[in-house]
Amino acid sequence: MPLSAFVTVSAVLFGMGLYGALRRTNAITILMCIELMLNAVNINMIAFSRHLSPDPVRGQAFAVFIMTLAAAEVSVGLAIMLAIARRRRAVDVNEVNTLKG
Amino acid sequence: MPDFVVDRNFWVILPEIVLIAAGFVLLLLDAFLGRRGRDAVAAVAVAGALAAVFSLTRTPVGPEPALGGMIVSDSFGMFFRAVLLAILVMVYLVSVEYVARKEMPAGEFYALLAFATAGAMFMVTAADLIAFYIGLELLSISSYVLAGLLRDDRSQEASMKYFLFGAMASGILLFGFSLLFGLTGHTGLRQIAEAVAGQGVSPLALVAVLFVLAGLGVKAAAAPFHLWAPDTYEGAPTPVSAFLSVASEGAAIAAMLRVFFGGLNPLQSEWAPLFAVVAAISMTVGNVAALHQTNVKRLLAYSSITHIGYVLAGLAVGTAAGFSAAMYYVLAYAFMNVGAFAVLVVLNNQGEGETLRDLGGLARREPVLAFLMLLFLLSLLGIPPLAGFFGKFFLFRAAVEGGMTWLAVAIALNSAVSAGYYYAVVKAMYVSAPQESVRERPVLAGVPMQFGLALAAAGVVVLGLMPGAFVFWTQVASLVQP
Repeated sequence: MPLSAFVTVSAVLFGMGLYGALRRTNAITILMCIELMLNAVNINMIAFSRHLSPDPVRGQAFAVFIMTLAAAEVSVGLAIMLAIARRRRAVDVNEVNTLKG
Repeated sequence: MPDFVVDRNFWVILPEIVLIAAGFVLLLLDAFLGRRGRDAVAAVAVAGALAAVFSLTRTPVGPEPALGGMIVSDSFGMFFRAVLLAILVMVYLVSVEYVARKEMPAGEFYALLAFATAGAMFMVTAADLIAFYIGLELLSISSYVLAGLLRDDRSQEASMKYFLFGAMASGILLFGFSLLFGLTGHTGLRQIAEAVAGQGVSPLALVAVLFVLAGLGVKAAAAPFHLWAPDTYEGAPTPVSAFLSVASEGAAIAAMLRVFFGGLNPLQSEWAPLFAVVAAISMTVGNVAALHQTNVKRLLAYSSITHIGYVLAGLAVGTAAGFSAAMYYVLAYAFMNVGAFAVLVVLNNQGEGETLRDLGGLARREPVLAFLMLLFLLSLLGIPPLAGFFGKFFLFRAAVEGGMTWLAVAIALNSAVSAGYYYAVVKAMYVSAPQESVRERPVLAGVPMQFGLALAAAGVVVLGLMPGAFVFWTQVASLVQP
């Protein structure tokens, strides 16, 4: 498969993720969209690592770190949302709006 | 394959190791001592931060990347590590009473601050995009939790907004990194710089620059990427707002300096105008929004967006003078902004809010505290001979000498506008009468808080009276040689 195929898939995936993250209002859905963005990055990293890099493990190592840290980030994010859901019974960003000005 | 031979010179990350170890000790102490051990935990936290400061003086300094090319303990990194540790010590001292009054989990609070600072220190010493990303996430993930530690509605909302924007920013930044990796085949900043210099300007490189700038712009809370900042600073525990506004933004600025002047220096003519635009937008948007705020925490949030705009002007100029002016400003800003937030923490400790009404007549209730707030606000405004004046003066001069006069004019005009809202705070303290309910109540600050305020005030005054030594430091530590 040519490199361009990977990059195209990655760009489309990232675009979908970014669009969703900006348009959706449910915090969990936004989180899923952010995961799409990160996976687009992973596809890029691994494809570039395979096709372009003089060092074959750099990009793959980066992708492994991204996966690990994304998991840590998601677990903290879900904990925050759980805490909010317990108090307010909603994780819709339009309803969580005490702070304004 | 030299990449697999990792040198084990762990001395270069000694302060970070000390901080993280201190964080774990704090968590254990908290688990064993419980609520009764709150003061002991605070004492150990401050001791840990001071131990990290001491170990920083023992850390080897050199321009060569260590630990498999991941970390570079150069004088640029040392400068920002020192700034970050100074911030941590001040924020610790300022928080002690607040943590007790608000019944926050002490172990988590101090440990997360230590972890966040360690992450920021990894960011400013990273020589590789991988190490840089790990540092950023350590800082960010700790900060998301810190913002929500009060566990009331506002604090939780602050935490959620910060998390959603921060996670999105990480995705955008990483996409930029992946493009850079695709362009150059390397993740080390030095190799990236060599490869980019060989290739010249390409459309893909410009897209990568845009993504990296946007991602770091969110972390630095520069307009138009600042949407999370006012809500997060207002809702988060006040000492955490102080920490985020200086440490998180300072680390993001240091990261920009390192990535753009280190890795992407060959593209300077392409990214410098972008920085100029973001700087001008940031200054203006922050100022205009700050003008009609009545909550001082929120006002300081918008003012911090303005100040990031000033710093970015130094990056936009791109000369050695602009570079060291930006570094000096981050240092000066750390002291004056932590100081201003610390005064609000004192009020919070009395169970009072942080609106202009709450500050009303502060000069009559506690003249010393009001005077300190006046000092910090005058420094933020840029009145000589305080730290903020020289910060702005160096940026202004760098912009004029660098041929960006319009940016210098923007700095001057915005400084004038900012007098409007800083004056509103001063007027509340010195002209307005105190609210009836608190008219006779004294405003008391505990001993740690007094030390914290004294440290911030000393920084503001010393940086203003003796800027020469610190300017020399920024010039030595600069990544751009004149």
